[in-house]
Amino acid sequence: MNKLNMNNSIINDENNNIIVSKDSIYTIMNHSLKTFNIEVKSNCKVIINDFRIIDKEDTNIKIKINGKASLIYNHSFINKNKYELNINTTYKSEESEIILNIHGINDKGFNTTNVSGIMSDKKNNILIEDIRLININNGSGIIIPNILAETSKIIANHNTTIGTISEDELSYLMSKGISETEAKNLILTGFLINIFKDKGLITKIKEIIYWR
Amino acid sequence: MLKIENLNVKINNKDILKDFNLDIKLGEIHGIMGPNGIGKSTICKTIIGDPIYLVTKGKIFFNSKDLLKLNITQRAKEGIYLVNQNPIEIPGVTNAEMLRVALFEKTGEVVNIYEFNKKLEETCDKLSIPRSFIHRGINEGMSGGERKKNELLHLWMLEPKLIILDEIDSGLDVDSIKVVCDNLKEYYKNHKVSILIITHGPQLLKLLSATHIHILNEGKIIATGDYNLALKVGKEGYKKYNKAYLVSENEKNE
Repeated sequence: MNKLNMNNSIINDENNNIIVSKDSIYTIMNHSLKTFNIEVKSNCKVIINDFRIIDKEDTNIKIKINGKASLIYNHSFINKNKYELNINTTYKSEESEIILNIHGINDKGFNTTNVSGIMSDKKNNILIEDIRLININNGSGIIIPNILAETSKIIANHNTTIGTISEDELSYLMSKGISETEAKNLILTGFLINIFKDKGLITKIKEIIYWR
Repeated sequence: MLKIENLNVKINNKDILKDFNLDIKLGEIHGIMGPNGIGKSTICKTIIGDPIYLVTKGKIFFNSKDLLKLNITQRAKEGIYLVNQNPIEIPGVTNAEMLRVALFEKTGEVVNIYEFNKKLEETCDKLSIPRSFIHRGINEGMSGGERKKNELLHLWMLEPKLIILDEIDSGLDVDSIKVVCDNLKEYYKNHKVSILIITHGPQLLKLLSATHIHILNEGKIIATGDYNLALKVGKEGYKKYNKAYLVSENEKNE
């Protein structure tokens, strides 16, 4: 069983079911937990910060959210080999919000990111999927963002980008006297940490990123 | 300090600069004026070494060094600094982090954090920008005016010798233009530098006391003078410097 460092409001059983019943911030840092089901109870606000350096991994996350609750899942990763990320979101009631911020770097690796947002006929829910991949060193990736909605009384957005390091950003930093290699390091690190607000986590990520 | 000789520049297979010449000596403040889309920004991008701009002929020397042999980083290390009209944002890379790396690469020495932070804070105060900018992502979520002030924050820290201002007055309100120009003048007084100003109108040239004014058309400088030339263009517009106009005037004379 994967024991997680969480407060008392979260129950983690043998099936990796996590039930959150009060406002929580949860950090996953290169954790071995590959599959988990998270249910956010009514009126709770939850933030999950998840950073991983991946060799070969499949991660499956099922999110259930109850009424007037919110979940922000921030996930950044460096994929060195093969990474399949599957996220499934289900709304059990109304007036809830799920925001998925995923920033990944495929460094030689291949990544598939499948996100299924099942909004059904529940009204006044919000789903925002922001998934961005940068491919370096012949890395590659596929993003499959799905949103299923059976009512117009919802807000559902997805933004997906796959590309390489921005030439404009690179030229800008080089025009300040920074070498191409260091400029790339700055851009990639910034891309990975930009979705997190936790300064402690940002510092840790900077410490362990291999190209620094 | 900067000498450009018979420069031809292409972008996307289109000739932009043709036999372009410019000579800026130490301490001089030059202004290049011209209507929209005439290639003013091409001059800036070519001097800093943006690889999109293809030099097909001519030379650029900076303090006698052949700039065309240097890449963007090397040119910046020589002391060339561009303030863009639309500085881009780089989320997640803070001003402090970028400047520490840039200074380390320039000097080869680890930055003294106390002195570095002190100078950053003092410069923020001088520019009337919050000190929180120091640890904010580069230009992230900043207005046009804030971005230009942020670029001046970088300028004070990196201490360049040639400052190129590419239409920095666009998108700035009257008060912000004054803050930016006062700050640039202070930098100019305290450092031995030259400035190249690219602009549409005479306002910025007056505020920065430009010593030499050039009019750009058809990819080359077609008129040079002092600030009175800028005033003349401000009153009469660029029509007089349009090739078609000049041809028809010549025909009239004939």
